[in-house]
Amino acid sequence: MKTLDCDQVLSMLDELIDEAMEPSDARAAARAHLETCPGCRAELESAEKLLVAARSLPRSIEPEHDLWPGVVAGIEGSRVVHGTFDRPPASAARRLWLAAAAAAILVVSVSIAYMAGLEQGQPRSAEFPPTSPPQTYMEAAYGDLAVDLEQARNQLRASLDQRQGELSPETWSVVMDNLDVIDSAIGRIEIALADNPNDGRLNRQLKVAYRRQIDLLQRATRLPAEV
Amino acid sequence: MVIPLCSDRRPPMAGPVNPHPASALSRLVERAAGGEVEAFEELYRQTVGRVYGLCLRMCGNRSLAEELTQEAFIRAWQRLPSFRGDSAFSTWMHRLTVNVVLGHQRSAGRRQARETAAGEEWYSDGSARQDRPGIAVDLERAIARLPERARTVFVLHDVEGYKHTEISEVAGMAVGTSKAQLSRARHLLRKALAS
Amino acid sequence: MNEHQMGAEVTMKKAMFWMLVAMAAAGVAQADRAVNEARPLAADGRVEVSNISGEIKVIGWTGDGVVITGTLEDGVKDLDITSGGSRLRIEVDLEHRTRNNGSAYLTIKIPVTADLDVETVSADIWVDGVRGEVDLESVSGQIEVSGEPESLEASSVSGDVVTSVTAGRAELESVSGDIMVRHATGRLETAVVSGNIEIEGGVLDSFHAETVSGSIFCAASPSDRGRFSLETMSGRIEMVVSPNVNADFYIETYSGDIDNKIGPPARRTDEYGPGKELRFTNGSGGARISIESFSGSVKIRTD
Repeated sequence: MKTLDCDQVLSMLDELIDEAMEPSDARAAARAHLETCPGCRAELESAEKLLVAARSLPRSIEPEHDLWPGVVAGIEGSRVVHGTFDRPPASAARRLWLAAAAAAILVVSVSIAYMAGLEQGQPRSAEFPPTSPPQTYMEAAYGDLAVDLEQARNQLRASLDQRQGELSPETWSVVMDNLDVIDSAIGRIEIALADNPNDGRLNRQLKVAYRRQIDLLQRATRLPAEV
Repeated sequence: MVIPLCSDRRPPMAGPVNPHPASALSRLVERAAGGEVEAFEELYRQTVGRVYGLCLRMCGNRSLAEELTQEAFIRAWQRLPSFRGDSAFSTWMHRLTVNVVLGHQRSAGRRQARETAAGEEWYSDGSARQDRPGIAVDLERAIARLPERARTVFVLHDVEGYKHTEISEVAGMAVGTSKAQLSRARHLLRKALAS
Repeated sequence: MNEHQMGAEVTMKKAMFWMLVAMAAAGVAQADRAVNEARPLAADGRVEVSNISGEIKVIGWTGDGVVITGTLEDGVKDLDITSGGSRLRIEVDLEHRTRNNGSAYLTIKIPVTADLDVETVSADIWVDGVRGEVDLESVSGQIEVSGEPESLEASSVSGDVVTSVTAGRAELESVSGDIMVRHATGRLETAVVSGNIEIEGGVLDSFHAETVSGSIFCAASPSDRGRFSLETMSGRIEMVVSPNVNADFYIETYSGDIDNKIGPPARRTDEYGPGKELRFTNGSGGARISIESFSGSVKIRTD
């Protein structure tokens, strides 16, 4: 039975108190650790206390006001609308999608093709569709053109920043948070590459991460205005 | 030492004792499904506590919980004819309520949820917060302050007794996400209660 | 808010309710408007829908043409319906001053074999029983599809993408939302950044899943010559296979653990550095399952 350290046991805390862990080596190892580690035991007890407290909360709470009149109003159809209308032919409708800067897209398409070519050094098990004419076309058209990925990212990022006022705060924070997720993955791969600069696998993973980053930037730049 | 906790699932309608035996309840449901408003009002009286309690805890906001409680009953009225009685009425009503709350959170709720200080509304009953010590009150307030998804999963799993697979089905999130959100909720709550 | 203010607010709400009831009774146009429209459309035609917020429900039916019902909230100026032979476009047009309250809730019946294109911002999209080519895009809306479209492309940013069945070709993507497929067949491509991917079952000819930090759970089986590739940076990968699946496995991670319950354990790729890999054949081989991670753990187990 292998020994576990505090971090490992603490990461299993939820499974332990939820009885979700089948009897296993991991569970026995966690038990063994807990027998000798007062710090982790304290964490476990605090987690169990919280669970007991949560389960003891009253599940029925009477509302302060009688809500029945509101319910009656609803079931007697006052919320249901009526009236149809005859629509005249449509006037020019507001377009949802904004086009990104053409230059940025061109740079991006080339970079993606370039990186896709590099990624193909290691065969992907699933290609969809099986043959990809657009990629080979791009490669044929641009050959070994070394594209400045940094430039592509900066251009897209600048386009995206200009749009901050048009996207809802929620969407903006989802996009920013996820760009951070990718940035941090890139950071970790770069650190690993510093120790192993010739590791083909790491280089490929870095290219994949750049591609995901550019994909997300591009998607975000083309999002419809919400505000 | 790992102290095993009682792991049996809580029944869906634990709470005030229901003075009406099961057969009387199913007759009520039948009459309400047939269009009898008085029967439906009786069902309302018997179940509003559970529905409101669930809404309140999932939203952390009284006025929103009241709105959603009403919406849940209105929807129940509309759907009652298709209730086949293969589960307890209370379970059906519970599921329906969860769907109403989640539906609201998905569409209109986002901006309002951010604008309302979730923990504040819980105590909009006039009494000063400082006069109410005690872990239950602190816990309710801490739950109300959780981020929405974490709160949803915590309430469904730890308070209401849902399993992750059930949460995944009703909330349309991956089981992995449900577990991650629960972990996050528990962690945030322990932190909030310790300080 | 003190009791007094709350009481006043409730009274005001009650007053508003009864006012609406009175208005309804008087037949005065209210805040919401009903929709009830029908247009002809060829069985193999194409329907395009665009909406900002609310809900779009599309149902494939065997009736003729397209039927649209639902409600439009106050901030909606118009429902623009443009038809031209084999193409029908339905667009929700908002008042320009509106910020949030212009929601449209539409249920649209379209010919079962028609193609469908829906774009929304925060409105949820539900599609059931459409067998043509389906293309759905949302920013924060939830996307749910059931039935077997010939091809399916669904993309959200923060919403989830949930499908019960895929057939033919499906490309599903989200950024922070989850992707869930109950029963997958044909060819499936999925991609998220921080959301999770869960495939509960089915048999796939090709499957690709990629995440950055989200987890991947796959319980679908490869067909005889199936090709699976699962890639993550730091998420957890879990694959459930049948113990006699005929497949060649190729798994590699940089620092993540590999836990293989159906065959040999992983080995270090390099004595002095991190990196683990695992290559083995289960059964008679044939299908190819490739799993790659940077720091996320990988687990292969049986059902």
